[in-house]
Amino acid sequence: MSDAAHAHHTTTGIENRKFAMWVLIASECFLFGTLIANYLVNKARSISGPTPQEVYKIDVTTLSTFDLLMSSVAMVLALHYCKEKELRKFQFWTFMVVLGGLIFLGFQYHEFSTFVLHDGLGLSTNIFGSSFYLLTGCHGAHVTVGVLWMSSILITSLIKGAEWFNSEIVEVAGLYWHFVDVVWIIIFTVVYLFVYV
Amino acid sequence: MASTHGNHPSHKHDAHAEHAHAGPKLYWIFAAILCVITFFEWIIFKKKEAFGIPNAVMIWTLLSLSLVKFVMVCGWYMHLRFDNKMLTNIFVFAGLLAIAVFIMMKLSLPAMG
Repeated sequence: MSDAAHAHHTTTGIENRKFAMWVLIASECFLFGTLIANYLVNKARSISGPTPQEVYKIDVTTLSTFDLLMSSVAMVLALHYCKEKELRKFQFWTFMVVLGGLIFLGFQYHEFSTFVLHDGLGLSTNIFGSSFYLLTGCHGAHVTVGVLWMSSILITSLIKGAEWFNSEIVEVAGLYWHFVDVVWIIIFTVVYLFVYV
Repeated sequence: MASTHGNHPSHKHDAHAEHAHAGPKLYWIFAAILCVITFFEWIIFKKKEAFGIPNAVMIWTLLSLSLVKFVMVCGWYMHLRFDNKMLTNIFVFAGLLAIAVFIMMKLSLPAMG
């Protein structure tokens, strides 16, 4: 369906799906704010190890942060080329978003498996492990949803070709993806870089 | 919310402003800045002891750098800078609530610090 078919005005001056996504993002702020607070309050209260200082591999996490930031660039470029109706470029950058998300999930799988198998940090090992996995696992679940969403957009555009240019849907998906990136920006700093604080 | 009320001049202005200020070139410049900031964060973390950076300085430096990245992604990639101010208000209000939750949790468990 083309953009023209979707063009309409609302009482708020904001497209309905976009407004709904921002309301969802606001509620997600609350969710992640609570999870981050839970982690910060409880990370140093474990009565047994392992501790954050013993398990974090900041170099690997920094690489995954670069990856997620680059996927955000790919997302904004995908939206730009969708608005410009350049199908091939739009599909390429949408594919890069999906790839960036999958690489990030690969990093997270590597991190979690190393923590569990090498460091002995499970979900119920101590309160640090519980709060850490709850926070980063919830973020990983959001990335997974984003990957599935962007994959569905890519597949739809591949099937329907140039007939399908719906920048409103891509913009709403993009808002979600950027929000997931923004949450990781905060997690990277307050969870990983503040490990000795 | 879904009812129609004719054209919104501010909408056209916003779209024009977005078109005038944002594009692939700017997005790549921002990407480079985001990567450089992340690299600096990593350097500060790795060389904290070598440079003798106090904890308080490190915390505020990293928080400031993180805030810059946050504003860049929200303002330009999420287009908040060019969009309806109501969206910014919703986001800022939610962010303040999230900070309030952290403060309440911290204060509610003073004995364990």
